[in-house]
Amino acid sequence: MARDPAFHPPKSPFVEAMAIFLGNRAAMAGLIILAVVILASLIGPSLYGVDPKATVNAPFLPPMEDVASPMGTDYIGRDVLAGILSGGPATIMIGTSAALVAVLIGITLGALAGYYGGLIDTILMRFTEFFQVLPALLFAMVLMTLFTPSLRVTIIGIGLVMWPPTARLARAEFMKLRNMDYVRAERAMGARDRRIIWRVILPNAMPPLIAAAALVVGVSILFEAGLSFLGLGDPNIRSWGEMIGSNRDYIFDCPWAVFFPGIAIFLTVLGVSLVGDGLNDAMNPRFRER
Amino acid sequence: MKQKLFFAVVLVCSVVVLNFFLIRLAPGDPAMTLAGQAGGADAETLEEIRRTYGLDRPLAEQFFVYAGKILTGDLGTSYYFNLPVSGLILERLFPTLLLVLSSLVISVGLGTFLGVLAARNPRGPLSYIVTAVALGGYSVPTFWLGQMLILAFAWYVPIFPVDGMAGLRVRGGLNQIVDVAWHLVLPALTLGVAFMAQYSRVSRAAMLEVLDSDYIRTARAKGASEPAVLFVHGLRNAILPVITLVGLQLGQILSGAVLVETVFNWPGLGRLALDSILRRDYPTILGILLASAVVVVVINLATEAIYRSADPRLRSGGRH
Amino acid sequence: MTEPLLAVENLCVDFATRSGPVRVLNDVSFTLAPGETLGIVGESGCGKSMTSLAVMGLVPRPNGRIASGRILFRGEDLVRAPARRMRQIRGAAISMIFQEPMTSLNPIFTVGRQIAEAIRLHEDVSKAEVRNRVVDVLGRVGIPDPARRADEYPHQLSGGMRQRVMIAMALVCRPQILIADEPTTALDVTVQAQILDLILRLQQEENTAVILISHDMGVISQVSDRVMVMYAGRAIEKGPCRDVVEASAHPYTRGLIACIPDIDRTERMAESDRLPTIPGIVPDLRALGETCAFAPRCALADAACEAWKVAPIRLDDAHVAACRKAARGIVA
Repeated sequence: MARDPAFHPPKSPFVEAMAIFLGNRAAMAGLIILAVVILASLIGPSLYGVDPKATVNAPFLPPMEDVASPMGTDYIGRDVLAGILSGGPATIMIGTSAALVAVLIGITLGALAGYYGGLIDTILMRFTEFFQVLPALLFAMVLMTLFTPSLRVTIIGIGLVMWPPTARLARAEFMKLRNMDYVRAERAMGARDRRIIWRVILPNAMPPLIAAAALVVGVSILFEAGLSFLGLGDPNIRSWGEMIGSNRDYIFDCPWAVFFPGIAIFLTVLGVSLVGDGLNDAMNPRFRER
Repeated sequence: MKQKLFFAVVLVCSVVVLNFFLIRLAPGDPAMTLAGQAGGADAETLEEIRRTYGLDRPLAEQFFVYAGKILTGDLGTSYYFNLPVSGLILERLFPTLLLVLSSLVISVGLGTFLGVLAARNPRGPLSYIVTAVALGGYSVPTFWLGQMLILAFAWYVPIFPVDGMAGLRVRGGLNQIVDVAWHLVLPALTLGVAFMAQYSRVSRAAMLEVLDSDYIRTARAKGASEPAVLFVHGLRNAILPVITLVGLQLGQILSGAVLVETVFNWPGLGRLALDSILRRDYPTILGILLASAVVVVVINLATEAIYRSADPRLRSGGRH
Repeated sequence: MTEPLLAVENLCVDFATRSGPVRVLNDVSFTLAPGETLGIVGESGCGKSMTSLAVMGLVPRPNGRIASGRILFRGEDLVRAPARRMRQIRGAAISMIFQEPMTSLNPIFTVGRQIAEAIRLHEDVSKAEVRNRVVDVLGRVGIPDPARRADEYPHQLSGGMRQRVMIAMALVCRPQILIADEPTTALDVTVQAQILDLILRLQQEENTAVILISHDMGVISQVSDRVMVMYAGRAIEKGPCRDVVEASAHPYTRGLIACIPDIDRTERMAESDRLPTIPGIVPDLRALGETCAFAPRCALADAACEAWKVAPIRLDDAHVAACRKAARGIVA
């Protein structure tokens, strides 16, 4: 019989997932966008060397008018490009850390709910639903005012409202995996719950959770931008959202001071989403055939 | 359904508990917090606050007094306006509901329509456009999108008003309705676009699955036309996950409304929330938190009811 | 023989896959006379379902397409018929019922509404008249209390009941051809016979021509007037039911017949303890050429078979087989 032309020798799931990911043009585009953003954030500020917080030029200066300020200046003469370059690290750092907090809470609660089921599951899921129903931004706004806004409060505040979707996903994965034969075997050998949850099931539940975590980073960045736009972020940090927020009332006088930071947020979140989608496609076998 | 209703009540009660403890969890004297920084907070005022909020009593008693007040509709008094919070909230509720519901109509209606069309040909150009727009809509900051729409359609090409909910000189009757609708276009579009993108993506995926199903083949075998197959047999099934998603995302939509109301100076709850936070008007902000939870719960129950009427399998006691 | 109701001539269907186009139907021809039952039999993937979808004009798009051939329905070529015309024919002149009654009905509409849709798509009748006919046809397919059942949703009915609803939907416009694609496969054994009897009874009442598709040679041999055996996209043997079953010319057909479990054979089964099977697997359609696709599995195949270009060999007036050895009587 003729050999099947589509036949390949079996590869490890990880190698296969990597191959799918690297073959995904959208995900690659996302990776390139992210690389540019991160590179610009890392070396941009020292390379450009303009203080983002100081008035360095005439206010309301349009882009390209003065070579010294290629993206123009805002309403008090701060350089927009300098703001964008220095806002990158802050935005990305807050977004990633907040996502980390959210994912840790989400995985812990979801794992417990999914593994034990029954009453524990009911209680934890009701708790999750409660947080999902509460308008996250309003809740975070309250938190930010009750506690003095600082970097840490911002990160924890965002993490506290972002975890429910991760918890639901982790719960679903754990419910699916807890009855797998290898888990049963482990249990039959007398392994403790703690070991089964964290050492046996979690590694197998990781792929979809990693993909979901990437998307949480994107949402957290948007959320941080929203808070800063409202003027509720750490006042000492110039993030992209803060740039937009502080120039809000002068949008008709210096639209560029609003436009460019928005583009920066958009591109960063787009890059993260593309990579997250690519990871999801690569690691979630359900979608492989499509 | 009864269970859902019960849980809705529990949920609202949980927000009451949360509100109660939020104030007391914050660092510092709760009376000071309630007085806010704007109040100046001399000893006499603090004493007065302690008395009205019963802060000098045991914690359990404080809670029951607080809960009892809320049950009678008393949400306290706004420091800034010196008016009952409940009245303030009721006044701002309608604009927010108008904004949220019209953006839901845009996002669910347009999103599902695009998703269904895209699913017809999963490798076609429209499908790629829908996927790209969905990704873009998902990644764009809502408030910034609103600002860009204002720049484009209210400033450079002045078709729509820049902000607010009503023109100054328009009063009464049909004119006023048209005027409000005119003011509503950009905010509702801004809030709708982000969710429209997600719903088109979800409905496209659901529709792809539905189009693969046997009953669609049956419909075609009957001689049904392609639009009938898509929109009669397909859509009703593909819209179910969208309804579920709407229920899950109501909190997010309301969060988005806070930003959109701020950008467009829309006189709703979100705008009031921000103003109250900047003024440290705690009774008002906690009242809004409670009110928005009630709004979410009520709309949630409504989507649940819609879902049930859309899926007969749930009605006759199959699952649930 | 009367003028055929349906004549399929040299039908070829291609399917686009990642590794290029695959011919899933290759040079399939057959005819169907009014009131006649044609049985199409073969393993899964042999093209029997694709044949019926092609007749219905429902070859899955955009991957599948009819590459060549004609499908003549009362002289009109359906391959070239516009979409509008095909919609008029589908469900009215030619109807189809499917294998999966559990999923073939739309879960969100009442069964009555779904049958009513079939009527309204093809006939301009009043609401009351539609309702009457829905209740009437549900009664005719043996559903008790049809007026009440019409207002129920598919999930409230059993599998057998749903298949009865499917039959009602297919027959409500009195089609001239009914295609039944594995209509009993998904059902309980006791229900299978009932559904088959129902189809045959209704066929006699209306003189409907039936194309019955099954992987089960036992079912096919019981009810068909003529039989077509398919393998790897080709019709490898066809003829009157008695000829094909009792004087099989193709080794594959003989294999299928040997697989029918029946009471007579129980003794022989006791000796070997198992039903006979056809060794090997269905070949990969991508790897097929013009030679006999069954040769790799055929116990009788020799070197000449591997090189022989497949062609139908006429054994008598109506009996045709695509086997090199059929002509010389080696098989029989």
